[in-house]
Order: sequence, then structure tokens, then C-alpha cells
Amino acid sequence: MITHPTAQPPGQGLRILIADDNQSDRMILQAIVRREGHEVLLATDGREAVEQFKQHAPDIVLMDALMPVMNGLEASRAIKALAESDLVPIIFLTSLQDAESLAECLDSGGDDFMSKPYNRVILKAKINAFSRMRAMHAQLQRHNRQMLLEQQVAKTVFDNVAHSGCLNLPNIQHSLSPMAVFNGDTVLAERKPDGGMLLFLGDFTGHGLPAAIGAMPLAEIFYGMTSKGFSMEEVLREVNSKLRKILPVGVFCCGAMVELNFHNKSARVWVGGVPDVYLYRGQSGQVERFASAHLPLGVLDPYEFDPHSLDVVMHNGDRVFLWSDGIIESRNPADEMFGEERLNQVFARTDHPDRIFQAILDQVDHFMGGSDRDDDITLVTAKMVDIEDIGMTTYESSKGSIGGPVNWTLSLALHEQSLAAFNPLPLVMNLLMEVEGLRPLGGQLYTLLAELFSNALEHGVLELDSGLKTGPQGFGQYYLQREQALASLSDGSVRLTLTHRPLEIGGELIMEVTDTGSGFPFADFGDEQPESDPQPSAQWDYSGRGITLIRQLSDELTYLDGGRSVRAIVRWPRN
Amino acid sequence: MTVSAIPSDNGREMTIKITGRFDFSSHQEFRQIYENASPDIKVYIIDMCDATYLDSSALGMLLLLRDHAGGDHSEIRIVNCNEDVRKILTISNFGQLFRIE
Amino acid sequence: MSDSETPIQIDDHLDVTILGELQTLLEDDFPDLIHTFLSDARIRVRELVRTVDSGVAEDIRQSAHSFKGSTLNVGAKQLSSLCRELEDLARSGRTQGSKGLVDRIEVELNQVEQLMRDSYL
Repeated sequence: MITHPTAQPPGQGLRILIADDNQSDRMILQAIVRREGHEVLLATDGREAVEQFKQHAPDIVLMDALMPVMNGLEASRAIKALAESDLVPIIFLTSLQDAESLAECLDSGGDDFMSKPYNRVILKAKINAFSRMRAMHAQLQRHNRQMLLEQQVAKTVFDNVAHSGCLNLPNIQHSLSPMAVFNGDTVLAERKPDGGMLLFLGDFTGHGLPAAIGAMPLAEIFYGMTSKGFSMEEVLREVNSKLRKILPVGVFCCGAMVELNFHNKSARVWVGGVPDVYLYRGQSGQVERFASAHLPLGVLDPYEFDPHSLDVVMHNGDRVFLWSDGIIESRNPADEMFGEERLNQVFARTDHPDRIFQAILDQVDHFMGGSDRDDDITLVTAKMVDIEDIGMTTYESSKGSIGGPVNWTLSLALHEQSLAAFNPLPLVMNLLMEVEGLRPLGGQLYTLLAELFSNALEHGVLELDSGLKTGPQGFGQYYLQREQALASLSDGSVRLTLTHRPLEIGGELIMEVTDTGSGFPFADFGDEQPESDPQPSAQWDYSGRGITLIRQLSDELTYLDGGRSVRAIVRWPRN
Repeated sequence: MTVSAIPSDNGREMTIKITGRFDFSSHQEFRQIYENASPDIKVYIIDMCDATYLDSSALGMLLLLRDHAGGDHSEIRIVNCNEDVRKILTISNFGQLFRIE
Repeated sequence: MSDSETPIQIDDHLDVTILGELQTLLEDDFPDLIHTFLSDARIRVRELVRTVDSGVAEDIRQSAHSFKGSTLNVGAKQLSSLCRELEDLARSGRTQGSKGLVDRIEVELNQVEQLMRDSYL
């Protein structure tokens, strides 16, 4: 947390407005205030005081209560309104005696009194006290602004993560206040690859940033896994174990998840720690309830967690309703809770199923009347429809997990000194694994690159005889030679050039490895051999540069420039 | 809202009595009670007879106590819940973690 | 109390502690303050006379209250207590007796002026 220095030491060098219609009183006050090292502004009536305030923005106002043209009470109301959220202390100068008049001064925005005759010591102490208060107020405001700024950033990040789903589909209605994430409330919906839909409503413990923080990984997992086709159980399991791992004990997420299958008209319902999920039957108007049967997410260890859900048959027009405790616990000015009974009444009385959602919001709003909302209403409902009504699932590259870089070229040349000191494979693999389509091929690509690179280095640049590698002893000798050759290498380099580009389906990775060696008669090593060569003998692999292996791992393999350069191509998806 | 602790005569049990709304405002107080409790305390009894309400922060505090008292090996009883309190404990399925009497 | 016949005691009329403090505070500007107070006081007394003649209790109260404030600040204690008496009377909605009080205020102001000129200018 950054602490800001106060603009000035308290009580020093303030700008103080004195508003008094009596000249001798003004003279005395001015002398006192100047003596304490403050700048003085003068006004002889309330209107002048307001003018002075507008023009010079004093820090503190000393205001006579009774003045001609505009009295002090009126002027202080005007000044407080102009000051908005800034703290401008107003000290009333008064010889008023009765409690009622003094109270009126405070009611109109005054912060303190100063009675006549003025006492220099007391006035000084009051100015100092208010100056300290101003400094604290200013610091609070800075912190508050900073906090709002941080919340805004956090909210933007969250919105980008959390609101990428399908909440805007015509069969979904939801209510979630813009800052709900800081109440710990989350509503998510996402399509499955098969056209189905997962719906989630969550309510994290607490308020503010601590309540919001868990929503991000939750949304990531929810969208990522749902769109990849994981089952509701798997999504729940992963969410629970992630939250359990990252959240401190005592912070968790009450929630409900519903999976809708639009093909076979069914739903699966999991409820952990939120009020009953309602299933409203469009035909009969009956409500079936699914009570919370599980602990909230993030409480239990993965092996204890139970993602078991209830299956239910649905018909077109049936609706599920998910909510946090905000609705039932909404309070009216008399501090009564809205309660389930009133909620049930809304279902019983609303004439059209499509209007129930709005009716709930209206009824709760009406019930709360003038009382401050202590918990914003979070509610989501989804209707069973035919798949044609909402369309099949479409893929957007910006969802959950993205495809990574698909169109690029990397060229890396390692010269003699680097060849001994640096292994480029981890770096290159790191980049390759950014390409989503290549991820399943990780092991294979690593092997391929490792073979190509070591061939170029050892046989090309270092000109080691692969014939050495024919036996256990030969191996040892080979690597000793390799080490020595590397250490004394004065010239030579290996260049890796990798190009990835998208194809109509998937993409291809082109790997070219070129060395400065003298090449090799690649035809002798079976470049012309059919891939199904039945005898990839030890000889092939030890002395033959592993070409059989390379060939198997790549879709195309070409030697160029007399064997100084090799190009291997891998395409994905692989069959 | 107040939290008060009454150790039992045998020194093995402690009763924590909750009065009024059990929510985030009592976080500090509640925490101090169990953190300052003697290591001999093996059984905690949360007396809700005067608790009017609890929110999710209070559930979180109960989990913290459970963790402090040994997690799965802890022995914590929640007693004398009124209907509202019991309902909240039921919805969150805390019966799986605590003995609610 | 302070009839013009009795010998003038400065302590009966002025709070010398307050005036002493003002002297220290204002230094060279102090005589200016006394002049300002006295000329302002004349105007305020004329205003008091006018409001008493008009007979509107609220106007009397306000003028008396306002004058009281400035007299307090310069330590004219007898003058301020007379102003207060008039203010209290007017607050109760009565005007009877206000004329007599204003007369006494005028006399007291003369005394104050005399004392201030003698002792502070």
C-alpha cells in the first residue's frame, strides 16, 4: 500500500476564510489566524463567503451565524454542496446560547462552534484538529479512489474471463449487478460441444476482493472444461479441487450447477450450499425443488468431494431457477426477510411462465421498499427448448483455451561458443507447446528435434564418426570425443529454422536444421529406403543417425545441400 | 453480536457462545478465542442458543475453527440452533463436518 | 449600577484581560481596532434605536444579538450584558422596557468610549 505524504504538516499554512459582518470581529479573528501562520480570506456576508469559496477554495471556514444578505447557515449549506466529497470544515462563530440554535448550525453543515469572545488558544487548537481531520479525509479519499480504480481493473479482468459464455442466449434470463463479483456472486453459462449447456450460480464467502478472487479460476475452469466437452461431474471436481487448493480455509463458494441436454430433454442438478434450485413445469405450473445436498465448493479435499448429481426429465417450456440467498434474505424496512413463502407466491400468482423471472425481481424490489439493499439479487433461469431454437455450439477462438500462435517462423543459429554451452531444445519446445494443436505431439516433437539437432552438431559440425557408437564401450568413447571436440571447437554453427502455419484443417510445423559441416552421403543411409524397411537394425540406429526414427516421426523428410541441411514436416491433427 | 468462551471444569472442553448475528464483524473475536485456547481443549461446543442469524462468513469461521481443532479429527458440536440458523447449516450441508444437535 | 454620577471604575465596564490580550495580538493595529469598534458601535446603537422605535421584537433581538457579539470580543462586558438583556426581552416577544434598555446601552457606550480613549488610545 502506498502512503501519501500529507500536503502540509497539520495546522500549518492553511487558507482560512473568515466570514463576519462585523469589522472589529473580523480584525480580531484575522489577527489570530495570521499569527498562526495561515492565509486569510475575508467576507462580510454569506454571499461573499460563497463567492470567496468558489474562487479561492479555502481549507477551513470561520462563519458568523447571523449576517446580512445571506446568513451563515444558508452560506454553509451552499459551501458544503460546492465542496462535494471534499471535507471543508466550517466553524460557526457565535454568541448564540440556546441549544436549538446551536443544533441548527450543525444541521446546516457546520462542524463546530466558536463562541465570543474569541479565545486564541482554543481557536488554534480547533484549526489544528480540523486540519488533521482534513489530512485524514484526503488520505481516505485517495485510498478510496485507489481502491475503486483497482476494483475497476479487477472487474474488467473478471468480466473478460467470466462473461464470455452464453448468458445472452434467448432461453436464459439472469440478474447480476455490475459489481456483483465483489459481493462474491457469479453466474456462468457455457455450451458443450454436443450442443448442451452448463449453468452455474455461485456465491463466494465474504465481500470485496477476497470474495471476487476465486471467481476467476472458477470461470476459467468452467468455460475451458465445458467447451472441451468435460462432464458436469468433472467440471465440479476440478472447480472444487482448484478452490480447495488456492483459497484459504474459511473461504469457499456456495453454488448450484445445472446441465441441460436439449437433445434428450433432461437436466442434471448439483446443489451445494445455495437455496433449493426450482424446476418449474411449464405445463402444470408445478414447482419441483432440488435441495442442497452437498457442501460448498472448495471445502472438501478432492478425494472427499461428491459431484454426484440428480437427473431429471424435462419438457420444452420447463425452467430451472438458480439463486443465491440474496432473494430469500432480502429485508424490508421492518427487517423482515422476503422468505421462501413469498417466493412461492410469485410462482403461484404469475400468469405467464416467461414473466416469472421479472416478477421475482419486481416483488423483491417492492418488498425491500426504502431499505438499503444489503445483498444484490443474483438469479438465473434457463428454459428447456429445442436445439434449433438456440442453435448448435459455435466455437470462438477467444474462448477459454485459445489456439496459440499458429503462423510464425523462428530462426535460431548457435555458433561455436554457444554450441558447447547451450541446449536450445527446452526453449524451442516451450514455444512449440504454445501451439495448442501441437501439444498432444509434445513427446514426439521433442524426440524429432533432439535427433535432428544432435545429428547436425555431432556428425555435421563436430564430424564425429557415428560408427563409434556400435557398442557400450564405443558409446563412452564417442561421448568423450564429443566433449573434447566441443571444447576445442573454433568454428561452426547449427541453425534451427521452425515455421508453423495453419492449414485448412489443423496446421503444419516445418523444421529445418542446417549445419556448417561437410555433409554426408545420405542416400547410403537409407534415404531411399521404403518406410516399411523390415530391418531397422541396431546398425541403423547407432551408426545411421537414427534416420528410421526420424522418418517415422515426421510426415515428410528431406535432405538438402549434400546432407548439410534436413527438413522435417509434421502436420496436425495426426491420425 | 458477541462471542464468549466458557471452558469446562475438566479443561478438555470449551463452549463458545454466540449472541446475536454471527457474521464477519465477529471474525476477530471468534478467532482470538480459539487461538488463545489451551492446547488441552479437545472438544468445542458452539452454543447458538442466542444466535439469531449466521452468514457465509460465519460458516467460514466455523471451518477455520475446525481446521484449528484438527480438521477431520476435530470434535466440534453445534448446539441449540434456532430454525434460521439450523436452516443455513442444513443448506450448506455442514452436518457433514460438524455434529449439529 | 453604572449611573453617570458614580465614579467610573474601569473594571465595571471593561474586561482588561481581554483588551490586554488584544493589545498583544494586534500590536500596532490595536488602536485601529478600538476606532473601528467604536465607530461601528455607534452605527449599531442607531440601528437598535431604529428597531426599538419600529417595535418589531424579532428585529430588536437580531440587532441586539449581533451587537452583543462584537462587544464581547472587545471585552465591553457591561455593554454586552445590556445587549443580552435586550436580546432576551425581545426573544420573549415583548418590546415593553426595550426603550429604557436602549437608553442605558447608549449611556454605557459613552462610558466605554470614554474609558477606551483614556486607557487604550
